[in-house]
Amino acid sequence: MSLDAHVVVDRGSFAVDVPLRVPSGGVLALLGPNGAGKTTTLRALAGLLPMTRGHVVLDGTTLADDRIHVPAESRPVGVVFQDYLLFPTMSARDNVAFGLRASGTDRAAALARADQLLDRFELGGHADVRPAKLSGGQAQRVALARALAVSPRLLLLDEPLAALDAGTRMTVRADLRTHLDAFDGATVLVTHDPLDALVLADQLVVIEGGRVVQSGTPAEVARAPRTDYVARLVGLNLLLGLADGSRVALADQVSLTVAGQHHGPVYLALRPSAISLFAEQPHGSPRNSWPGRVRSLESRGDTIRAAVDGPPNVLVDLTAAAVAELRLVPGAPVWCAVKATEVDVYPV
Amino acid sequence: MTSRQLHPRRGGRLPAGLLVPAGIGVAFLLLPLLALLIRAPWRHLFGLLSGHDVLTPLRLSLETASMATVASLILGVPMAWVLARLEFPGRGLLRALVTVPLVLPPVVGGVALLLGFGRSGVIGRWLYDAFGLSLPFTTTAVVIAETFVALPFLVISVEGSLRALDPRFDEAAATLGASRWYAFTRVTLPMLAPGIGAGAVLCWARALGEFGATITFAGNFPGTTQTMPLTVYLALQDNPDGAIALSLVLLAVSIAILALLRERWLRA
Repeated sequence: MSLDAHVVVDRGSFAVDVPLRVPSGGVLALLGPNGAGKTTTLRALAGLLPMTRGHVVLDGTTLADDRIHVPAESRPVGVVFQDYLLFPTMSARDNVAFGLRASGTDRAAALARADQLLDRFELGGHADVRPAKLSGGQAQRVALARALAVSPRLLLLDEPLAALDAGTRMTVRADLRTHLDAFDGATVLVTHDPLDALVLADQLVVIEGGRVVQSGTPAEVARAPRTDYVARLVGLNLLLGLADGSRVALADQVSLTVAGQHHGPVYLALRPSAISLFAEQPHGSPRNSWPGRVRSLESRGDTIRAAVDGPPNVLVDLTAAAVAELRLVPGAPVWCAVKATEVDVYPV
Repeated sequence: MTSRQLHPRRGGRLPAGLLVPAGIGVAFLLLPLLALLIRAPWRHLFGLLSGHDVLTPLRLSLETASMATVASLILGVPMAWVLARLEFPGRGLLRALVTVPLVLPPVVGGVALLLGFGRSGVIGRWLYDAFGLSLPFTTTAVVIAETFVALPFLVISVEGSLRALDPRFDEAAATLGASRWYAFTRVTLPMLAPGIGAGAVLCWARALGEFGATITFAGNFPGTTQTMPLTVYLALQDNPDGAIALSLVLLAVSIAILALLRERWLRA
């Protein structure tokens, strides 16, 4: 286990108590509503905020416990801040070289390493540019390169995509995934966007009011959400496919029709409430339908979430009336249908 | 030229209750300066200036004001950092004390400096006994007096800039392994440069015009402590035209400073 932490920060009116374990190369997404304590947890891990109790152990080295508090500048931890906090008086190259220079690497070597990293992040042509002249996506990559330049063992990302507009977010998200895949240390990612969490992380920890309400793999959490917040948040059906025009081929020779023209690998996101169930193959407006079998039914307040095995396997939100009308029970055969316009497409 | 008409940001009548006092205020500030220009003996200007020894006090003023500014930078920037970035009990009180010279009549400052650094002063006596140093009535005393009144200007200005600076840049630097000193010199100082520049110009202008503390603590000795403001004041007693000519020189220097600051103030 690369990161073993239990973050406890008690400020009277507001308390955070979050245990976290991340293996080397693992990406953990800390998901939760605003004010849940996500950023507080991240700051405590970085050493920017003293903990009341708990511990932070990274690769067997204790960074914080009841007696020890290794200050931020001595922790092998890289942070990408929400608004990046690139130093505005320095070029992109000097930003990336900053950490190495601060730890005493000589100037030439630090700059050479910075150039190498900028090339890897496809920013070679922007090395001399000040942060103010960079686009949001470029600034995000510079921030990531800067954090990785000092070879951290733990990478902390605070809402890494929140500052980007919707269009850039998709490509930057896919990009970020590639870079996180290449990083061999542990990563903790804070986000309130379920799509970020589902695409980037292999482990979810959902916190509400400073406490963990659920954790597990994205699929586990989505299948059995324990609170309404989690259900809303991670109740996304995320399918990987290969697009060719308006057709997207999924695994098992299944394909879906989507709105717009797309090419190459894509994620399809289907909200559970956008999928309808029918007793027989539907005809008419829904462009996509496939047969399946109900695996489980779970009641959540005024809706019932059905897990339907396809392919593709999906979660469907139904009203109690619909469940009764269709006589849905585990094992029952059904037809799933979704309109092309209800399928969101994200390039990988 | 219609676009040159006065346009308040929103519609409606312009409030005379604000415009009239504002106009009087502008006139009040500018008329005396205009009078100085109108009454200036332009024809004899060069004769008057060459008759006086202008260069010695002018050079002394420029040199001492510059040294006072350097001293203020060395002491004031760290003071501003302590006041803006460190949490400690009594910080508010310390800030108030540091800014006392801003509101203190400069003559009182001069008397206080005499009691502190004078030959029989609290610190001055020790300096004299231990090193044979006597500060009053020397050029050093001029620099000390000017620093005493000008330093708070720099501290206030730089502290304001520091507070406007996002402290999370320091945190970003820390997560990259930078010590507080390294972060200060490489991240904070460059971002603070415009604020420090503006503070230094204000500080320099205040030092250049310093009169009360200087004449009290440093005296009025031509060549060593007689700065431009002192020279102007003395000239006014027996040679008003000479005083006007000298004033014009100081006015020119002040306008040059304003030109230096135009980026910050005139384009706001």
